[in-house]
Amino acid sequence: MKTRYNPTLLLIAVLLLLGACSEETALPEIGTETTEYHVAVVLPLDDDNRARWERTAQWALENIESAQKDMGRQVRLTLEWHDENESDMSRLGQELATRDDVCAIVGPYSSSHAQEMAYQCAKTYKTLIVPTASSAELVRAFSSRRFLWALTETDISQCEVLLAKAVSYQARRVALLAPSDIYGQTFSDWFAFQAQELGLETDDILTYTAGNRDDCIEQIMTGNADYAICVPSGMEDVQAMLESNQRHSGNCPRLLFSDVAFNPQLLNLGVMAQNAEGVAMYAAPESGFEIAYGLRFGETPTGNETQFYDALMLCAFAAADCMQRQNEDMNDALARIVDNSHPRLITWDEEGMEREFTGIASGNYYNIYGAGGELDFDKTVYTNVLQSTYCNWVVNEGKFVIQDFCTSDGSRRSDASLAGWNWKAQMEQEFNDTPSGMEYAALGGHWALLVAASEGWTNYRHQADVLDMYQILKNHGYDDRHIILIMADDLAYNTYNPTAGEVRVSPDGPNLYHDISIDYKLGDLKPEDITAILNGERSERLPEVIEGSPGDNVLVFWSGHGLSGEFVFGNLPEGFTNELMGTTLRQLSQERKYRKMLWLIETCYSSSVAKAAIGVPGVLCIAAADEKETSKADVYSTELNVWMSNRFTSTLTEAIREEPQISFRDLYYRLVRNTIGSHVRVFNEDLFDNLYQTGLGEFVTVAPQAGKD
Amino acid sequence: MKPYFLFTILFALAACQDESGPAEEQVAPQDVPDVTVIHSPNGLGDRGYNDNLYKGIRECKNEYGFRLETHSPLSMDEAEQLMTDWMNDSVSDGKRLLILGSSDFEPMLRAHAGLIPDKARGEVLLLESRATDLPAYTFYLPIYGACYQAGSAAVLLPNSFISAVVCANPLEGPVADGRRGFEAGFKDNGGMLLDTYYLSDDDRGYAMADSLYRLCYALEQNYGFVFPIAGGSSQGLLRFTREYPRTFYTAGMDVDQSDYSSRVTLSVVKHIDRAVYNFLAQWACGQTPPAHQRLGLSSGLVEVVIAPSYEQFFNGYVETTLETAIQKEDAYEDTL
Repeated sequence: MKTRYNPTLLLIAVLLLLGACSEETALPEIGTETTEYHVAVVLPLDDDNRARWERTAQWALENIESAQKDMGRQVRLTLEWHDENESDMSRLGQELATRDDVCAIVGPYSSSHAQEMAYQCAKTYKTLIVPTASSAELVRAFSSRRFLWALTETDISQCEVLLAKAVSYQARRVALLAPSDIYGQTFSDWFAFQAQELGLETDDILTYTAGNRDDCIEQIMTGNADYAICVPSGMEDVQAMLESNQRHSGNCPRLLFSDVAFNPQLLNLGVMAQNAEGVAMYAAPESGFEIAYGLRFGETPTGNETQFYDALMLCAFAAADCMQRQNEDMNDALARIVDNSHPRLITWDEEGMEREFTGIASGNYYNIYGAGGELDFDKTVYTNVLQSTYCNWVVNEGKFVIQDFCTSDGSRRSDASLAGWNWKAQMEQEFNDTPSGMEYAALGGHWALLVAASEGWTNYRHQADVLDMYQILKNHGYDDRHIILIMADDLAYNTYNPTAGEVRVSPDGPNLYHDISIDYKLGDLKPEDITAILNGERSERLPEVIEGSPGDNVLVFWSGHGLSGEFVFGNLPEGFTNELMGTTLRQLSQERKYRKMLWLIETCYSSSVAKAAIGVPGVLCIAAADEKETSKADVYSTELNVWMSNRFTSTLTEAIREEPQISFRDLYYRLVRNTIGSHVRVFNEDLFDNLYQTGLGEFVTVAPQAGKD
Repeated sequence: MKPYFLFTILFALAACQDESGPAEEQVAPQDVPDVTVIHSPNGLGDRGYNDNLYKGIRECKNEYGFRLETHSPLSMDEAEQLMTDWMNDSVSDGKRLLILGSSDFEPMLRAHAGLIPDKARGEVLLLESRATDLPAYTFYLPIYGACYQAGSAAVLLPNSFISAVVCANPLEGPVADGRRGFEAGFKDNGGMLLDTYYLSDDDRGYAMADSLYRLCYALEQNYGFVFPIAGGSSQGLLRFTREYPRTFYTAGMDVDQSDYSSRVTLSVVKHIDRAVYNFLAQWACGQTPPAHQRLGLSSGLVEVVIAPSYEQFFNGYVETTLETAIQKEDAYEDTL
């Protein structure tokens, strides 16, 4: 019998065989156990960027899978994508943070979105890996709880790198143009401080909103800066800045952009983008990632794809660790993964991942080196990487050219308590250790004026700090009659306060809201009343005043917001100005209302007001920040969602507690070294006293017999 | 089984093989070769030779699917440890290749030549070495000829009759060859004075971009053209010329660096990526690559590339000097 072969059947047979071949390679090995981990990715998924994120994810997932192909127990990441520009971030965060099937969230991209997401994740400790969000506020706010993993240094570093670039171009005067959101805030907070450290003169610092953006841009372009650091919040801002720059061509500052401009959309601007320049977080050149990326996709990675790749890699490693230990705590796993005490291994590629997966299985972790470089975290707070690589990019002929690389500094930042922003302040003041020539009457009594000049829950820290100072003075012998306490008093029973009747300066600190006597509500006063109170001008409206005499030391502690040349006073349009302070001090001096007077001032730009003390005998002012600097908050509570204290003040109160008699000179050095992000300034020391010989004790400690009853 | 049916099955199986890589001498999945690369200390990330080498290796890996382990050690000691670990690895079996990415490794390799495993357990490729007496593959891309062309061309630029060469170190090897080539081309074509600077006595000179950047302030005062043969250190010079765009003219090295500065007039390009790709492709397919190769100007793997904005200025000069440069390179190689 003849067998006939139907050609159609043969073709099917061939196709089946072909199919079998390809399917076979895709099937896991027999005996392989695969555990799926679900990751939520929250990124801007606009048309220009979506394909980039997806292809980068695809590449990472391929390598993750391929790296485990010979392992008996494997993890597989599955991703669900959310467009952060189309989502209600708070609601999405709430949903993702409480979903048990989501092991981690990667993203969002922008710092403000990341902040909203972090609020929600803080409640459940849901692992949140932010590849790009780099606001210092974000990192500082959530560093006390180990759930946030930021894969770039904060923008404190980026700001420094941008300014260093300006220095290398021989800039002398620099200006900043930044949005008034959490992203721009880090730049505007640190710009003046860093410019001064680098020997640059600050021409202008402008924060813009959507409403005044174009005016601000115009102001920068017509200013006197050589270089303008441009911090756009989106590509529309970039375009507006470049257009304006082009209009003023030849007679305006050269622009240096922050990382947001390092976006493929910039290239769509054509000729306008030619020679646009900036810095951005990038792949570490030693990792080889950029080259491999170029081979795979034919272009350079932009928009923080490097950090996104690393985020997925970390998720996979942490998932493998959880699987091995039969433990579901991703944050603990990540802490083990990024522990840097083991040998270094480039882990972003397939072979590196394979070794790390093998290491995890046997408990021998490597010091992983991702696409973006060493993923080295502070071992105490594990919040953000301690070192990032920034590229200096420039647009040339419609493409990005990476000119060189820079890091924020040559040394590692490893101080646990200051993770990521451990600045050693420089440019300290020097004081004469010689007699001042001032002669004072014998010390008679003590008076204190404590002003918390802001109101509302979000400004919690100002009133909390003032209450802390109040309790310190009480503990050092002051009575209520000699303390004039001014505050809004809207915290203790605020609806946001989960522990009604309590106010603290740290999560574990004592309640400060007890046995207090508030003399004035902030809203009942105006700035001129401060003058009257200090001058002892009692009235029906101002029954409590300082009755100072030539033998009395007067301490003023002021905590609140500041603008250039004034202390903001509640919601009033004009605050306590430099002029008012000058007038007040001269009047008090002429009328001999004090023996010595000490002002301790915690506001932004406080030196711009404090310098009014210069030339007034017996007055010493210590200001938290220089004239163009903001002062910095300290101690964030994720429970209260507020800053609980300020850096200058927390250092000050700590010094008083530990060493009440500390000399002013030692106090100054302690404040300088611990007040990170602003330059503490002392004014009028020459007309005060020898700062080596005199100290806080004269103002803080009341001997029992010296108090007035 | 009928022949027609057998043919069908064989065709299908062959197609499977085609899908996963080149059909010729395809390596079976269980015999995926291992390639380990040790770059020069601080080499990877130099945006020059080492990055180009890495590119060629990775490109070949993408095509042929071997396992690739990359090391960029921080010191020669670390490199030596990595090398001896590889040589002493008695666990790994199958096809293995160790690539030592620079002639700087030659003394180290000689010192441990006894540890080099037999061919079945692993082979070694030493780059940029002329050695033929080692149990290792070697090939090198001499730059004497291309640097001769660069020296000839430099003289044509305004104020470049007094020029300087900045070398990573004074050691014999590619850097010294390049310096000699540039000097010969410069002087043969009317250059008056050529000074030489060395960044270091050893391999650290390849990673001293900051030092070269600072040196540029002095170089700018005296020279119209500065020719860097300094690996990753050249980034310091490129940065300087970006920041002072009216300063001396310069050249790119190892890769086309004209994108990095408007003062880069030409680049001496070594296509190490293509050279190593060709070698690895042969090796991965089971063929035996040539044991020792010289791949100079005449091979096309080394060339001078004029920056686009200087093309009109040089106007075909490189092409007209090519034959002379090849002859000069051959003559130089004969003296070694």
